Amino acid sequence: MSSLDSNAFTNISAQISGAKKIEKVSFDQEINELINNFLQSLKTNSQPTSRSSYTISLETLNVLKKFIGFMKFSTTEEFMNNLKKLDLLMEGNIKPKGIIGSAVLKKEFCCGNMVRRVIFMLREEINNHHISLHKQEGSEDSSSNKVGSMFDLLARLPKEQQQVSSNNKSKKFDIRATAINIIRELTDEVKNIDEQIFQIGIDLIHDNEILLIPTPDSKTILNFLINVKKDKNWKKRNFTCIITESYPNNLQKAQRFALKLSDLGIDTIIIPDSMVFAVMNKIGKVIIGCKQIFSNGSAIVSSTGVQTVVQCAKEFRVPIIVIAGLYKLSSLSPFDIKENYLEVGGSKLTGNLLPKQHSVTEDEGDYSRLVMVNNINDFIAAEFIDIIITNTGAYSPSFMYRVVADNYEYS
Amino acid sequence: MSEIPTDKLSGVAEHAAKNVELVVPVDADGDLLSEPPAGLSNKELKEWKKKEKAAKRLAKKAQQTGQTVQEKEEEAILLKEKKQQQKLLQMQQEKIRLQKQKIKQEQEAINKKKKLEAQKLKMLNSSQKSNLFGHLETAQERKSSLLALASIISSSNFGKITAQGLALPSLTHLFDQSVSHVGTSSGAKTDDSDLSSSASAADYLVNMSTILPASVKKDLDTHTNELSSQIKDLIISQDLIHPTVLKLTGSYASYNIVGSTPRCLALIDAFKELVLDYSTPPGTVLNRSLTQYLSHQINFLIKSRPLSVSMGNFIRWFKQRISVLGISNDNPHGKASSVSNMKRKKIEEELKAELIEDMETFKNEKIIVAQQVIVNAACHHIPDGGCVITYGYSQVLFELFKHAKLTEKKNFKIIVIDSRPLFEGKRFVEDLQELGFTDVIYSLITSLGYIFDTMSIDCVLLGAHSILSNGFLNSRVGSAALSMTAKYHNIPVIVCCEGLKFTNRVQLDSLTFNELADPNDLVSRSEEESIVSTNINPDGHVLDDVSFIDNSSQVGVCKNLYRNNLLEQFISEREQHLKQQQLKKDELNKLNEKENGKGSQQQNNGLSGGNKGSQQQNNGADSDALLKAKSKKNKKTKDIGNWESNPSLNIFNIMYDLTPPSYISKIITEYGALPPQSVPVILRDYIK
Repeated sequence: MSSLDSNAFTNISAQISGAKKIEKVSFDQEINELINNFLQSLKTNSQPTSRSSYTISLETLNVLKKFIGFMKFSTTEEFMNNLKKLDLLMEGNIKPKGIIGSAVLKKEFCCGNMVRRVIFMLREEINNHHISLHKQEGSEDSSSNKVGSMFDLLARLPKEQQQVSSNNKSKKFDIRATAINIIRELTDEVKNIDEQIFQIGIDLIHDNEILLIPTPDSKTILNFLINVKKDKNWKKRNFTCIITESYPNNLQKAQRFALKLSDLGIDTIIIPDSMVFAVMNKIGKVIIGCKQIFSNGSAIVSSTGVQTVVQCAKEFRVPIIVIAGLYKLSSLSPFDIKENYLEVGGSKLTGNLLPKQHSVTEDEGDYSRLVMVNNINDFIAAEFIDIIITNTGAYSPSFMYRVVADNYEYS
Repeated sequence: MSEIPTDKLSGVAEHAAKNVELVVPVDADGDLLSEPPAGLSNKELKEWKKKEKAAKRLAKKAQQTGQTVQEKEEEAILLKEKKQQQKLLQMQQEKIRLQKQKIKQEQEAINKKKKLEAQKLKMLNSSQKSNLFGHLETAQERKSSLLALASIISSSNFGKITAQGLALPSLTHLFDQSVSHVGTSSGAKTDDSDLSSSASAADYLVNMSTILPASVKKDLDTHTNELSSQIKDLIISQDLIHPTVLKLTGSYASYNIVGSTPRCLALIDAFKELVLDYSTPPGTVLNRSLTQYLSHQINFLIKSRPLSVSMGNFIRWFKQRISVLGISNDNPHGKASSVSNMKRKKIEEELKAELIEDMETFKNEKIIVAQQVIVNAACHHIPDGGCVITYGYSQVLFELFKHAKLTEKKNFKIIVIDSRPLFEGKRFVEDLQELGFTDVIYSLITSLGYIFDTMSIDCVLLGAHSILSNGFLNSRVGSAALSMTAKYHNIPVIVCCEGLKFTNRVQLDSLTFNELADPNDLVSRSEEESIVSTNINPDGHVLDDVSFIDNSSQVGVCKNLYRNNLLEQFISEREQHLKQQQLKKDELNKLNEKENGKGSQQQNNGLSGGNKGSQQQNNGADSDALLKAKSKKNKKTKDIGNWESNPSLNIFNIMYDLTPPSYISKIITEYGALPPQSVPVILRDYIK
């Protein structure tokens, strides 16, 4: 019964949001300010390479908390609709009035992820509340509800309204407080993924294994390796980490990463990116920390050169493990990732490393112009990934859509 | 018999006497029985009687002492045995003592050895001998030997010394050796007895005014004897090294001349000059002495970087050419004594001219014309209006693009992929732009995937360092990744390679045989990082047009790093040394003060004593403390520059990698185009 209700609710909200997309969406002045500030901080406070999805998720949750605090609403439905609007905004699908530069969000998936997680969890809470209400009232129409969801695509509409009205009647349910509780819960989850990931992932590393880490900017990977090294309950494992430089975007991070590992006594080797193919036959496993996992199992990583690494690994039959917290899981499965979701630029990062430019004289025209390509993040297709380790378990990439369905509101 | 012994042993003696009484007649009987045979002479009889008498006397004596002959004999034996035993005991004791001493000595020796080994291990650890590339000569080793030589050659004291002339006292014995060495040695000589008797190469270096950092010196000490012997050989033969070779070594080591073909061309030119300047020493034959002379040069040259395959092939050809020199001329120049001096010189000049001409022909035939042939064959692979992708710098490809652009007037886009630390692609882009190419895209190897995903590329063109007989392409590290990506995207990979670069060697992976470059090239100490860390515009454009940036030293970066690196090390060591000296001086001063003020106050004295103690401690652990402080500081600041002090951190920097034949669609040589599987055919049928 509950599932039917939620399905119905989904359909309606989808319709509503579809309609809202066409009309102009706007928020209150305070909320506008809040979101603008958030966007501004995303834009300016850091380089694209130093933004980590971890901090962004936490920031988003913070913003969400404030958003809920500022929000004015009369019904639960209105509350949810407002959240939905925020979700659409965080996905970068709409441009509300008074919000500037929301395009950044299109590439920061974590914002959308967090909002959607909150909506999903909130909806579950609402459903639970309904069930308890129904139980109290004694369900009248439960007998006819054992029909598949396809059938009530159209038929559920009036019932939904009924439900909403019944919802309004029950004043015991404080949606704001519930939402804030959920956000707190999520914050804890985001902060505590390391231990869970370690428990799941430790079995994948054997003694004296050589690991290749092409994403030296990943906090999750660093903590995972440190945990494996420091582990006391299990038999001690020695392993060697080979770290690619991921020059030019993450060179310093890679070096810092290597220093942190080697300070703990882990054998660490830094290699230039060009050497990946040469050493690949020595490597036991490739461990990748990613920025985003899509529901089709593909991933976006925030350091470059990973695509080559992954191809090499496939060529040498080396297993590829992706480690990520669940907050990086996105319900999207776009097909235009390479075109629209990869960030390119930051050539100024390598500015002084460019070839010598000839000064433009009158005769020579613009032949001194040189095009440089430097992408900031990289895309891994699902076919390359062998396993994805999240804080809830290890999954094969083809199974990710189910994990998405378990955790997110379907959009 | 009449006398009865009054000894305490009387009882025994009586028995014995009775026994004797009983025995004697028997004896007598025996004696009688053994009467002399009839045919004996008087003399013999006398002797026999004497013997008998002596026996009787003995018997009497025995009766007197109350002992039988046998007993006495036994006693004597016992005595002897006792003595022997005592002796043996003494001997044994001595032996034991000796053994103990020996054991002690051995133990000491073992301890020493252990200590040495531990030190060596430490050194090895600190010198970052990796397990992956332990079998390869490191850049550090090459560099230290090169630097040792360079500093010797550049030091003013040493420059004036000739093998037979004046020498510093510490070096005279070295040069005594050197004379003999030069006379006999051919190439690297490893004489162990020589080594053990004389100090290691590092010791020589200490005596000279070198600017070699102590760590490098330690390297020389701790590394294999082979290395120090090599260095010694080099030091010995340093006078023989031609200045052009010195210069060439410098430009190889600083990566001013990079790439298989340019290096080979430079080598040919250098050898031409060398041959021109060469004059055969009296009493030798040109083709023998020249070969020997050349091997000295080559021994020095390989200290910059290992020979490329093209260079190796050229040298092999050249030596072979020298060995048959003059044979075709039917000139009996070998008999130097029979020919007049003038004539001999004339013949030599002719031979030299012949050699130089041959080298010129070789250069034209194997490189320049070969490149033209390759260019003509490869040009149709570049489509008009298409896009080709290449990696690093390749001389042939440069010629190819030049030909396609200027002669065939094709318009095409070139993508140049580049990588750390050499950035050869930058030079390529510059050269291409000078030719008038406007459509050049420069990118680093990290963006490879993105480029292949977003751009339509017609073919991959690669140069080669060498092509192995099993069809593998040995090229600059990174080209394998490029070919692999191309294969993944079904884009043909075409390799342009002169026949000179083909080798009979077989190799399966890039780790077994490679050239280790200096890992410090990857640790940038220049200001580039600080510039990188400055804020950049978050609005990244897909393709950034980069405005004019003044960057005069790109190729020189490595060179500068190379120099600064060691210099910095030396300077820091020097500073530490000075500090220590200063501390010692301070301590001495304090001691003096203390002695002066000894009588005045005891309390003061105690205090200063305490100070002194702490001072000593400080002083003792000074260098360590400094180092520790440094490393701690580094740990705090997370500076990668100090990676060598971190035992579990390693940086690898190899020069080449192997591209499997499955990725290569076509190899274009001057003999024609062929699939990589047919490389052995070329090696067998065309290259002898």
